[in-house]
Amino acid sequence: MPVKFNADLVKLKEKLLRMGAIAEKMIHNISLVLIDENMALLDRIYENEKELDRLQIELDEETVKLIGIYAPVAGDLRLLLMVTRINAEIERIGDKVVDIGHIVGKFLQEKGSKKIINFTHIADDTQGMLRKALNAFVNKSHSEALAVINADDEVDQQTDQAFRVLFTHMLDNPQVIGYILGQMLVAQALERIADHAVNIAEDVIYMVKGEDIRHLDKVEENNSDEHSS
Amino acid sequence: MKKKRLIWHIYPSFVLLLALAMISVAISASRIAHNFHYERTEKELTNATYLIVERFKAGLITNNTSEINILCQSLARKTGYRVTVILPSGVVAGDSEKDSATMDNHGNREEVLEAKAKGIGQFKRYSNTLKEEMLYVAMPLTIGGEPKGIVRTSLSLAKIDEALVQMWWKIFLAGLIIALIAVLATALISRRISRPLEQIRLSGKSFGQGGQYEKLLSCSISEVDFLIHTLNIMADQLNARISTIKRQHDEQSAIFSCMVESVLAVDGEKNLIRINKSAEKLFQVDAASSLEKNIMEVIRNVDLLELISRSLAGSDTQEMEIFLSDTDRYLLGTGSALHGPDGQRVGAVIVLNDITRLRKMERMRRDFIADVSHELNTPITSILGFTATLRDGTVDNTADQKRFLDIIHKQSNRLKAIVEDLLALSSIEDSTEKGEIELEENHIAAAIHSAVQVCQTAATEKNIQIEISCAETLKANINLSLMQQAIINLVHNAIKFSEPGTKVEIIAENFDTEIAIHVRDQGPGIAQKHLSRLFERFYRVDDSRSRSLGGTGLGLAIVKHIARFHGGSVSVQSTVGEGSRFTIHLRCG
Repeated sequence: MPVKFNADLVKLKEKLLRMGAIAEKMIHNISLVLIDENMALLDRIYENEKELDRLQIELDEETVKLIGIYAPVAGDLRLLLMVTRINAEIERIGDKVVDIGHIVGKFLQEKGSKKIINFTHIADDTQGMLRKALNAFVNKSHSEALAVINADDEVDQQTDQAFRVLFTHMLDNPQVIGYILGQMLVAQALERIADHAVNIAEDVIYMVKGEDIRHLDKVEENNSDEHSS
Repeated sequence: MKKKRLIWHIYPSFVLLLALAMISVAISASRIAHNFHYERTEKELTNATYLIVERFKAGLITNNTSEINILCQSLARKTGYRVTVILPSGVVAGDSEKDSATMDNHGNREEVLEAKAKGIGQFKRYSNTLKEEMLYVAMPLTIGGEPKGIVRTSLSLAKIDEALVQMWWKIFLAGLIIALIAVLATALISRRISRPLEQIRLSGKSFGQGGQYEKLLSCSISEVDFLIHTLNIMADQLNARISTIKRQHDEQSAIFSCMVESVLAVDGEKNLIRINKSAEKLFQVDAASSLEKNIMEVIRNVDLLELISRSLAGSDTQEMEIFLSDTDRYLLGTGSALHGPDGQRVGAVIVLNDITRLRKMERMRRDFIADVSHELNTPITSILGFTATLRDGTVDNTADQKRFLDIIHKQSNRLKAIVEDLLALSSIEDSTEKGEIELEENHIAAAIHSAVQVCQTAATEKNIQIEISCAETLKANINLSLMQQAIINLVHNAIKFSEPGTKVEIIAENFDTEIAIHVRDQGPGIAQKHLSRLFERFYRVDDSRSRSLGGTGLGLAIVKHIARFHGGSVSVQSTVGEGSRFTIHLRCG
């Protein structure tokens, strides 16, 4: 492959990682919104989401151009394909964070309503998973990607537990049902973000090893969902 | 241009010169030899003709052709010349090589005509009879004043040419031998020149590859010796310059790596080119594996990337606050563009200051004010509510009135406890700063025992056993009442959070440089993430639970300040489900 291709590839990766970093930051900011009620951060989150959208389109265009010009094969082709896929996952993470922002705006701004769930843990774990998934992408590490996939169970369990607690509260305090529902939606959105991180990790495994483990995992995930519900 | 070895530069010109010399020698030699040979042959032929001309007298007089022929042949055998006898009419009377009868008239041959006219005829021409180049000498034989015939001798010139060719061959052979000798000679010469040059090459090669420069020895060829001398001087100067550069580089990198501030530099493509120790530690990266990589692959942080982009684009120094979410650190980043020698922008350098402590302090103060107002507000609200109800006079029932008053009383006490704790805290802080409270040498055991006495009632209520393990003789410089307060706070907490029927241990240990007082319980333990903030004011692991147990949230903060006042510290170890151990460390000795 020509030198120019490698230089372009580095640029592409930089852009993708920038998206990842923005998404990480967004998760962190939304956790500050949830925990410290720092509403000023919401505006920044919305700006970030717009930037993610813009970067996604740019990245996809550039990837298509690279494939068209250089006709890469094997590892390089897989890398480029996965860049578009990871790019989409990150963009969806951004959307989810914005969703949480809307939920906060709609349901969680009632004065005096008491925080039932402390989202610090779930948010930290989710952000950690995204960070580790992107690290796995940078290091092209199969084992790091697997660790991310395994970490998903922890987040699932935390979400389940949060749901149980919220159910109990809902029965006791029907007057704050909107608030509790909001918290449930937030918990679920965070759990979905963790799932996107898992998808990124799966993409990394495909990129590194060329084996697609998505369906294998989906079966397990469905099973665990059935058990929990 | 094709590179040739030295010998191939010298040898061809050498050989060419030799060849030219030899060819010119050969040409002049052959010309001289040819002339000399020719003249001699001519002379010999003339002499021979003089000598043999008389022998044909008898034959010519009798005109006996066969006798003349025989004589011709015998003379030719003896002398090696061709002998011909021609009559004045031009008819050939005898010939040594051919039958005279078959030969044509020789009367108009140039040598014959010349002999008739001058008495001797010499001529070099092509012989029609023998078909070769011949030299002829003819002489008339006169008997009694009357020409009777002409005797002609001739010699083939081919013989002369043959001799010349042989001479050429000899010269050529000699030339070959000389050329061979020339090869040896030039090889020798070129080796003498090229050997020192080869040494210069090897020495320069090893120096160029970063090795030590070996001083070159002087050489007998003055031009080469001059070169060697210059090279030696050049190498010395280079060495001196390199060591200067190396020293400067070492100094700079020592300063760079020992800086407390984290510094990193990127090139125009945002690839990491330098990173110092402090930054490596801060970002938990390894310089060796991360240099030359894109910054996003090494440190994935949007704020940092933006600072770098701005520094690369802008001309002023850029400043930005950077938050590292994975290690929970706040940094103040300053970035400025790096300029190359000709002024163009080649990258950016980023200096990062850790302002985590500052941020945390700010946050703590903010939290403290919020917390204090919140803590005070709760009991005040409840007191206000109940007093308002009582004042309205709507509650007639004395039992209810009493219950309300009890609550008001309880909340007031709580308020008082908080205010007292706050006052205690601030007075300890003040005293620590001013150094007002005096330390005296006291028994640790006394402090522990009196503290346990205070807590005994609470312990007995929950059926918790307090075990003390402390040497009675153990002494330390302490303020008895403060130390007692600290131990009370710890033991109180231990009792409060333990299940009934468990035990609380107080152990005092004496190490060389410190005395450690441990308070160990078998309670539920504290999760790792709370431990770092546990000693902050109003920090509660479980808000609702702690408050229902009647805590003010200040107990551990007071312990921390008392320990600090004694020049010591306080620490905690805890495992969820197994219990916690709080330790007061006091310096001694």
